[in-house]
Amino acid sequence: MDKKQTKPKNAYTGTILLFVGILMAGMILGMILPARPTISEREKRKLAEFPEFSFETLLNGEYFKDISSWYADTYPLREMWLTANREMKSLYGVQTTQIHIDNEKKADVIPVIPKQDSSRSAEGSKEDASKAESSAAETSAADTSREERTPAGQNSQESSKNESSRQESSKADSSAAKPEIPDAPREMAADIEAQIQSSLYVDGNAAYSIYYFTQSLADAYIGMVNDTARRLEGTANFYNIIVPDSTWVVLDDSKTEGLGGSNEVQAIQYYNGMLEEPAHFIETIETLRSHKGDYMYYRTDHHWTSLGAYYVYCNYARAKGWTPHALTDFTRMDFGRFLGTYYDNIEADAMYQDPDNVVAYIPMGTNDIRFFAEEDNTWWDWKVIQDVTDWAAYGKYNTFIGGDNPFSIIENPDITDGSTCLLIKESYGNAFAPFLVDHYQTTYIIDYRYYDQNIYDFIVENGIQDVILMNNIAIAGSEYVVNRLTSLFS
Amino acid sequence: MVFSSLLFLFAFFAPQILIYFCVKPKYRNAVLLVFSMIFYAWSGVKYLVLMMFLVGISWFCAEGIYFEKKKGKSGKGWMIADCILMLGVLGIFKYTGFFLQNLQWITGFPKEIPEIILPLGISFYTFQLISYVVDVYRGDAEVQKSYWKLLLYAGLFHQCVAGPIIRYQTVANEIEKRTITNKDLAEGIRRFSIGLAKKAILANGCAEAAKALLPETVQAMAGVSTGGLWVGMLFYMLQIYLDFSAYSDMAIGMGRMVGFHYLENFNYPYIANSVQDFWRRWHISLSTFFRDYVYIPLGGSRVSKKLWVRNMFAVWFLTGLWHGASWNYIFWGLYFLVFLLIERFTREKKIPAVIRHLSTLLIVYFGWVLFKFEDLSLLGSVIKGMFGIGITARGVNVMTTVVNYLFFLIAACIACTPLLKNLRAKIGKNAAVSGSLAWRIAEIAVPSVLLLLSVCALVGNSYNPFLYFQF
Repeated sequence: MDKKQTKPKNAYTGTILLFVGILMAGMILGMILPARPTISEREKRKLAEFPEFSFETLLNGEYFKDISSWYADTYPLREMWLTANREMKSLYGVQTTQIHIDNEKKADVIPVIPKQDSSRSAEGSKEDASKAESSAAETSAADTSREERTPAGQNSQESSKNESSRQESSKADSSAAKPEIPDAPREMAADIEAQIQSSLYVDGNAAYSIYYFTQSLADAYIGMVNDTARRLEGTANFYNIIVPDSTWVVLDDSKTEGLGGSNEVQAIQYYNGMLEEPAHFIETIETLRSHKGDYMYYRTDHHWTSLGAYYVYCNYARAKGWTPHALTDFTRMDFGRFLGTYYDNIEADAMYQDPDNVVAYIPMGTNDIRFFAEEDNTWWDWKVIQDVTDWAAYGKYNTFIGGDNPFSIIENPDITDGSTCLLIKESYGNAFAPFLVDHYQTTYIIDYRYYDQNIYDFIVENGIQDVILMNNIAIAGSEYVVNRLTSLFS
Repeated sequence: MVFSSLLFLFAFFAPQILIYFCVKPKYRNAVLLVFSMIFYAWSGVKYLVLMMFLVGISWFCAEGIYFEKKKGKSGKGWMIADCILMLGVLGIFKYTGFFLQNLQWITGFPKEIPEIILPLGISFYTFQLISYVVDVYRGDAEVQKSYWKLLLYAGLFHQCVAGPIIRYQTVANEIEKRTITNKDLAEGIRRFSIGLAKKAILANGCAEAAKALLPETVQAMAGVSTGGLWVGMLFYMLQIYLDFSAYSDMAIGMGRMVGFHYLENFNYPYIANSVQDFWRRWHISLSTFFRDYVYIPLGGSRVSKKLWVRNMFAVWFLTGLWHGASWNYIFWGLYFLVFLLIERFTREKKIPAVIRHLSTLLIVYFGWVLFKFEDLSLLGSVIKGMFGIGITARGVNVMTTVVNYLFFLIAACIACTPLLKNLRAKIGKNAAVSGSLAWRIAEIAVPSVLLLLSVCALVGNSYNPFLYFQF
């Protein structure tokens, strides 16, 4: 009898001790401030910061609210908890296709622009589309179609990283006479690129971003472009390129419409249609959609492939009145297995089993690039297309122009006419930049997220002829980007 | 601060438990009071001042009643004064905007409508204070001489922001003296952890799915499908119960841990077999409040049919209005009134239990549609859309969502029924099983496992608001 009575009592004590023990452990863990992470690599964003005190925010409760988000956002062992949570969520149902929605996002209705001024776009020359492109497209389609893709690099060593490969390259003379570039926060880039990843539709081995149009931000962006182009009139030509996500290019419209979010075709029409003289735009989405079925976007990463960038380059070349180079003119490199940011985010096994494949085309004139790296504040001599065959599977998009750096220069020794262009870009521009090399004596590249000097002054002082601003549509619609570009162009 | 946050769990609740059990019993009320004030101040220091002021008024009015009664009078004036002040303050904060909006709609005046922020929990604590003063007036409760103890009653962090609405009589004795056994503590822990997991895992998961499927603006209707609306509303229906009852579970559990025995606020409302039954099981503390302080004083059901309908109308109009300052909530209250009247006047008819149960669920389901959409034009579009009117999108994401959430959905449905609770009780009675080591380990581990799983779900979970905070 005695034993029976102690049983429940023991169970109570056990319940209490275990629960209170975990509670106390959680309390102590929460007090270890140095263990708190500040950025999340996986989520590609900066975590919440401890708020600054003000009397007003104390009274209305905002101060404490911010402390709450800081506490939860930077709780120690964040990655471990997130992994455990993902494991738990994988049991919620059958995970063939998934939709990750950022609930905060809302889309505005995209106004229809009555008539586009086709004279300023590459559309007008569509009829006389050069043979170069059609032949290029044929070869490239064959080159990159899924069936043809070689599973190269399957057993490549994933341990060698970006950094270690870089060490092998020679450091450049840092006394080069180029503008001094101060530090810029690296986390910012992570923040902006997360825009693309906040709402995803996942279908087996591929993820697609869901885009939300915000009218006020689109108008601010367009205003910034119009204003800058006007101020540069007579000095430089200004080209605005808005690149769509894979969603509206790769998927069938019937499927895409069911996902929610905004129509990127209409959105890009809006961005283009609202541009005023002398700003030019380069058509992207209709061209890319006309090549449906080609390998223009990665499935496991939020970027586009060389081929996607190539089609838009063809439009740019025609807008300039040039004949685009054929893809067969370049040396084709295949760096093999690639698992990008979508894979980081979702870790879908189907992606792991069927990874992407990075292909790049080496410019004819030169493969040398010089860039200023903000991690170590030094100039590097690097390759426009770096051999990344042995790099980790997640780092292979860095083959293009050495990844994201504040400032880069490519000098083409084959061209001596003094021609210059400046590509102002985020990481979508990386795959595009190599195609510019064979048209200009000097190609400058600025990643505006890390570059802290006045870009307008730079254009004027260096006598830049063609300025190209290239952004992915989701990134162009970010408040941070609009504000930053506005200030850099001021 | 919300209960289902890491800050609450580890930086507030854990130290509170630690300190509470370390100090001498006579200081324990002080510990609870200090923590409650910190908890409340977290939503804005100025709102704490307002609450302390309103408690002061009610304390003073009850004192007034007490002295009047000593003189042989009823003290009715004090009671009425308190009700006017409490309801007045609640009305100003909660309904000014709504009133002016309607006035503007009718007369075009005023031009601008001020935006008034609703102080956290004001709908709950004003009702508690009213119940205290009225109970003192009626002689159902003793007057509380200590202002601080009354502040503890109204402001105790367990229930002051989202209920349950606790009657003063329920806890009057326990405020003065409480005994805590290991059983209380363990059962409290169990209850709290069930509530936490219900909120952090199930309700938040349902919210995510519902948000993905339901439109937030009339423009967003363009992207939703008929199937999406139905499935989305199903998730919303689960969410609102799991969310709100989880909060009550946590409040009851935390109370139990320190020796308070609050009354149940939910009794598995989705197993109800009539609308009346549903309201006996849903937000019980609110229904009983309106029953005791509105319905019965008006005469209840012991009046003519006409007056009874009036009484019912008053209760359901107020129930709707209490939930929010918007017409959809009033419609929602009156919608239930209609079904209650139908049930009342047709109750002779024999309807099979299954049909009764399903029809109740369907009525409640459509009730949540009214409840969900404050924007009346959106509400109209959604109702039409649910019957395929005005829908253009095909819902590829509906089946995807259902398949993605299949097991989750089943678990959420089970959590709305007493199935697991009954199962545990049944096994507990079977000595052979309940004596086994595995069962005992499970009994001990379940609350902790739920806590850990909830922590996983809460880390980095940016979407985490409690639904009932807006009331």
